[in-house]
Amino acid sequence: MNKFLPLLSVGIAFLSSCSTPPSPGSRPLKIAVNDIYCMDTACSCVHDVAARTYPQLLEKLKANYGIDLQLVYFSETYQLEDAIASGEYDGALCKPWYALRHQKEAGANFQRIVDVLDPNNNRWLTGIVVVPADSPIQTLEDLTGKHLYIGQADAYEKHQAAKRLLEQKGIRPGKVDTNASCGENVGVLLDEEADAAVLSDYALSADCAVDFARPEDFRILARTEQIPLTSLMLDMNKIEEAEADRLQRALLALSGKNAPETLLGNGFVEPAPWNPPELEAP
Amino acid sequence: MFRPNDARYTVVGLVEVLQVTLSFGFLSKEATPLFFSSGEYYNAFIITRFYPPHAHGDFTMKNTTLILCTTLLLPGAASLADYQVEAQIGKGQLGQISQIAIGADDTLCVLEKNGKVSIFNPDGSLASTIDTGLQNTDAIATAPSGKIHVFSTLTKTKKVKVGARMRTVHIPIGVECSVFDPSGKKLKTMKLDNLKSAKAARIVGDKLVVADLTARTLVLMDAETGEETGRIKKGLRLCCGIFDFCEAPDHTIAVSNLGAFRLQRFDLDGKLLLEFGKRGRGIDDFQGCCNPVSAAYLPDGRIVTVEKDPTRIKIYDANGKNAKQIKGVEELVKGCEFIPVATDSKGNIYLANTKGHIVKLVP
Repeated sequence: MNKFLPLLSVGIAFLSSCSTPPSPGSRPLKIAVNDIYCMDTACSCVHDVAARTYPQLLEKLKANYGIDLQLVYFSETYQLEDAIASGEYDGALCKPWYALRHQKEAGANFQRIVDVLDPNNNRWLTGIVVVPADSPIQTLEDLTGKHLYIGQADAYEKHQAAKRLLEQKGIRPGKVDTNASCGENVGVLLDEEADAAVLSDYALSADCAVDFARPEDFRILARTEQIPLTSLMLDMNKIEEAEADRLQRALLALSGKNAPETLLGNGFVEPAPWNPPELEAP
Repeated sequence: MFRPNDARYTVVGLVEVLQVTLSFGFLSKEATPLFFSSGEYYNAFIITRFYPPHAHGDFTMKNTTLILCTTLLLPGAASLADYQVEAQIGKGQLGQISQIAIGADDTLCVLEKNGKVSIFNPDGSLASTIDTGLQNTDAIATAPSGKIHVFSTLTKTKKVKVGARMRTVHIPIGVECSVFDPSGKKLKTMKLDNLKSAKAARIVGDKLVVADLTARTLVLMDAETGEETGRIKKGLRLCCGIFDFCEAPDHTIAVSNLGAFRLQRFDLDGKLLLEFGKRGRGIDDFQGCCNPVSAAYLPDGRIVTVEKDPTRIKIYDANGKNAKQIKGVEELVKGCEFIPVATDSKGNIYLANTKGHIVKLVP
């Protein structure tokens, strides 16, 4: 009988580990990452501003708090979304909409535990409605009957938020088309194929468009509502509430003056409330 | 396993075009194993019954009819191209590859940043090398005569302040072109004063076309004299330091307009003849932050496009539609890196990667 005891112990330990959700302290948490300002996911042409790296933070989390985050970087957001939808990740660090819009199919319950500050310590993202600098269009109201390009449904600030802005103002453009990238929306303005376009507000500073368009070439007519730029979200179907709290506290403690230099800004802040109406049950 | 050319089977069926639509649902269950031709250019459905010789008419349609489909629809359903990786060329022999081109007799000319040109035979063996004596070489062009043009971007250094630090940057100021015969003998050197830099170059008809990244312009010149004959600039959305184009049929060129997620074909007067592509999820779309980075035409007029990270090599039809991805090509680069591509007269595709070798794909 004694010779089976070690085996029995291992079996009990294995079963008990299966019975409770894994926690940040018990195993590495696999996080899918796409961050506008992270060198591992941003285009190289903006690496002067998108120079954030996470290894230093991960080391401190592990050394000081026993929390092991395993980041998997996706430079292509379609791959990021597929990864999130697969349900194979414990969380995501990205524009929250990328994860929230897939949580149903992923069988996930994403909770934003921190917002990530950009290098200017800004937490918000907006869509900007722009026209060429020399356009006769002066106000948002002037877009009535005009040709407008917005983003596609995966880009909340350029699509849902832009549509809502127009709806709230009672503006009905003559034609609304979509492009998947800010660069293409910049292009239709440079090629004079449209009157106005909606871009992400970082498009002319932290996107490939910086290589062929200058901010002074465009005039901003309006901004959409503010939404969080980047959040760390955990799937609460896989993570215990207490452990999510522990990770949140650790990240907030590693922020401000304690933020690792490689984060570029002040690190993290508590998540701002954001409840996209598109996620509410009909 | 059924084979349509199996002598035991006798073709007694006939074309049943209308049945195709009705049949598709049960084909895979009831008539397996199926044989689908890999041909892509047939315009009609041909469904032919093959009756085994022992059946003698006492069989039912359900259990004996085997159906051969040779159809245009099937390649559309399957989005994989009939290419495979055959070889890796130049492993251990090449450094930082900047461009590749097909030379005389389908040889492969590989240009390195340090000015070295390696010429490989079609079987992948190294034929010769040319030490051009040039530096900062990003562009190579081969002429039908076998002449090899190598382009060096001349720079001046300047100290600039970036944040709190001073950095030395190299500013492009001009281009020098040296011409070699296939044996490596230098024939002449030209200073191209109308260029700031040369990222890619092709000889198209009697024109030398150079991609000047600094000026964000395609510059067209007389191939012999270097005299400028035209420029193509409008609509080019270049980014990540990448600017490539290829020769297209009928003395035209196709530009990889990566920031616009398009491939655009122009005549040598700058008239836009064809464009396709957009960012998106579909197989016909381009992905990543900006793509395609390069392209090449196959001898039959189809178009090979190259996307960097994630690496996707696709073949479109001549109209820029019906893309199919070539499977089996590993990630060639990480991040925003250029991937040179070339195709030879047999339709073989060559791709360069940052690991210092060439991947050869064969049909």
